Amino acid sequence: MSTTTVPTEITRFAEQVRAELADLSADDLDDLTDGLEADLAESLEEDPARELPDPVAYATELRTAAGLPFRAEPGRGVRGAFRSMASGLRGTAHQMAESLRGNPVTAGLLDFAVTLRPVWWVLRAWVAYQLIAAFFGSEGPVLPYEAWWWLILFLLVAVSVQWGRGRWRHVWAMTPLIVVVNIVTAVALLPLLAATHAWSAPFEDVPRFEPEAEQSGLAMNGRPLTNVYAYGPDGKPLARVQLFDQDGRPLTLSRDSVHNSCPGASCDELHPEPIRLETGEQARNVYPLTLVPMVYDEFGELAPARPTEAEVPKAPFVKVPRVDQAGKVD
Amino acid sequence: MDATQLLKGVLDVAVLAVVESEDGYGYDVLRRLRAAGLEEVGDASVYGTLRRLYAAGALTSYVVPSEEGPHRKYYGITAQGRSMLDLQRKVWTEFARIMTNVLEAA
Repeated sequence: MSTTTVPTEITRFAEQVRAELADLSADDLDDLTDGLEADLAESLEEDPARELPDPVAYATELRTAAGLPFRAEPGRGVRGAFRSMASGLRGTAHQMAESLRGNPVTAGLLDFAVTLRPVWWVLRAWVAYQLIAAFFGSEGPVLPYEAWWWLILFLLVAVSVQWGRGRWRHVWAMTPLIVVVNIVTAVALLPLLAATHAWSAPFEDVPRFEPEAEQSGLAMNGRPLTNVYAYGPDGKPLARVQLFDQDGRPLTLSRDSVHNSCPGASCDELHPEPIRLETGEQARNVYPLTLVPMVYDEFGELAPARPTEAEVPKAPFVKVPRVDQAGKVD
Repeated sequence: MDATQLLKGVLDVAVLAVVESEDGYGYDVLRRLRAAGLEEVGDASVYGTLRRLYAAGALTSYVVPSEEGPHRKYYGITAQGRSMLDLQRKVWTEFARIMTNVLEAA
């Protein structure tokens, strides 16, 4: 018997290699690929662990070993463009891999990266799932809640893994499609991870913004005030004085500054006693503020401190000099 | 510049030399080249080179039936291949000598 049966896999591979070299003259092509199937069968037989290599890279190697020029005119139309793009990328990747293999450290890293390829296949499917979900307005969670979306994610993982294993490499335009998908994945991965992280973070992690909290308030020489004391013409302290500015806006203090103005270590925050107006509204411009020292209890809740534990802030003066009867300076 | 690039120019003569010492089939030639230290040589390069040298008349080939697996296509060197090898040996030796001088003088 002079012929042996060649697996269809090899026949198809050889066809693709010949297609890659189709720009060569018929003689050159024959020289390079005559008996290719038998040689491949032999080489696979010798080393059963081997898989068929990438046909484009294989064709490139045949071409360069023969000293023949690279394909100048990649063919016409979209197909030609796809082909030349894929072949260019493959060639570059092949050369990079070869130069990395030259150094033991980078060769080790390359092997490690190759081992991680399945992770990439799954990530690729996840990114596709996120993009599809976002398209249907269902973006957000890292993993889907609904069975329907789980099914889609599962299908995407299956497709991505089959791609990665080179199962559909022979389908037309598959290689450039995978390249495009890989680029999209690489670009979209980090933003998507960040977005899903923010979405799924518990609410406690998100800084709370209290609507009443204000950064600005009354200040003197750049330092925020923590209370205001009013004294009458007789020099005696006044209580519940309402203060307004020239435009009728209430004069208020920075709430944060007030909270953080605890006099002693046994007090965690100072909170003003709420004061209501006859309209029922809460007023923050009624001075002096009655400040209540608060401490965090064992449950992490703020509670009023007992008077013995913290000193209640007092007015700076019991009495100030009264205003002269005339009330005017000469 | 790495060895892979250099190899491209001299793969023909390397394959001729290996086959001259003993006939061999494709994978066998590949293995002998690798064992000789050309570890980065690819199988497409070797198989392609064998086919080209055969087409150019530098090699002859015959099929050896194999009990297990496919028949093996053995290659042997022809008279034309031998004179090609002799010439390329001289070219290489001269080239290597000049390059060594250039590199050591620099």
